[in-house]
Amino acid sequence: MRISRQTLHVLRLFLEAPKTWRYGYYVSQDTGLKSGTLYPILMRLADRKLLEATWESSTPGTPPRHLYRLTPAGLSFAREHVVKSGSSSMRRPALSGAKS
Amino acid sequence: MTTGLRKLAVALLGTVVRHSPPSSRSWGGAMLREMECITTDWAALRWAFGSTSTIFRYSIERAWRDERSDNSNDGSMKAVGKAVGGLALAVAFCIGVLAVCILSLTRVSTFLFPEWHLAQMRWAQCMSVLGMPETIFVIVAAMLWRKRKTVSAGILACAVMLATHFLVYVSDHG
Repeated sequence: MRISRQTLHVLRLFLEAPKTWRYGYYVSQDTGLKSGTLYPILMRLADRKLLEATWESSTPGTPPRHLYRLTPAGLSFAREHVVKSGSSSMRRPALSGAKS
Repeated sequence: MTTGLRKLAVALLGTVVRHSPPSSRSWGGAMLREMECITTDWAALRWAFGSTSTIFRYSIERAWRDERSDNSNDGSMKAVGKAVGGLALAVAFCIGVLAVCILSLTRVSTFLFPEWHLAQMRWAQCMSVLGMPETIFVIVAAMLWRKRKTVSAGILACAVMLATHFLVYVSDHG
């Protein structure tokens, strides 16, 4: 299967800390991908059971957010394709001004 | 403080999420939640536009996939979803630009420069319904041509339709 350069960036980011759950916006910032590019990738990965998503347990006063990480199948898929691609990672912020 | 741009972004994405099919509503909700973490209003608006386009495409892809689950081709599904989503986005963009151009003539100019009577001047009307939108369409289509060919093609198609409509109207009404 052929995967895009942007998908590789996402997979590479998730591989950096495979057990860490990540927010979509921070994935967008870390990969430099805009929402219109990032979310279709996340959706496709989730549809193929390569990515798992969960709603974080909400704390009072803040709405819950979606979190993502690779499944075991996704990890082996990502390792295989990232190693195969062997290209350097792209890092630039997609959007400025994240709330801390 | 919530600005007009932020309200527009939240309203746009919120409406799309509310009216999206159940399969994509969870994803839409996730994008909406993330938007609340973006401090810059323009960035939030861009996020909302990107998310809206994604929800359209995903909904169409899912509907297509559900309908043709037996003998579907993944590549063609994506292509069709992308094309229809891109065209829908282009049409929405063109309607928005046209509405803003016309409103700027009928409302803003009357409010800012009442003595100019721009809304009654024929050349100003032509500029607002044809000149300004067509210029914006061509510039945006040229900018998007390499990266978003479908959206760009949709905008150009709208530009041609608008020009044709204008010519037909002028020839009929003199």
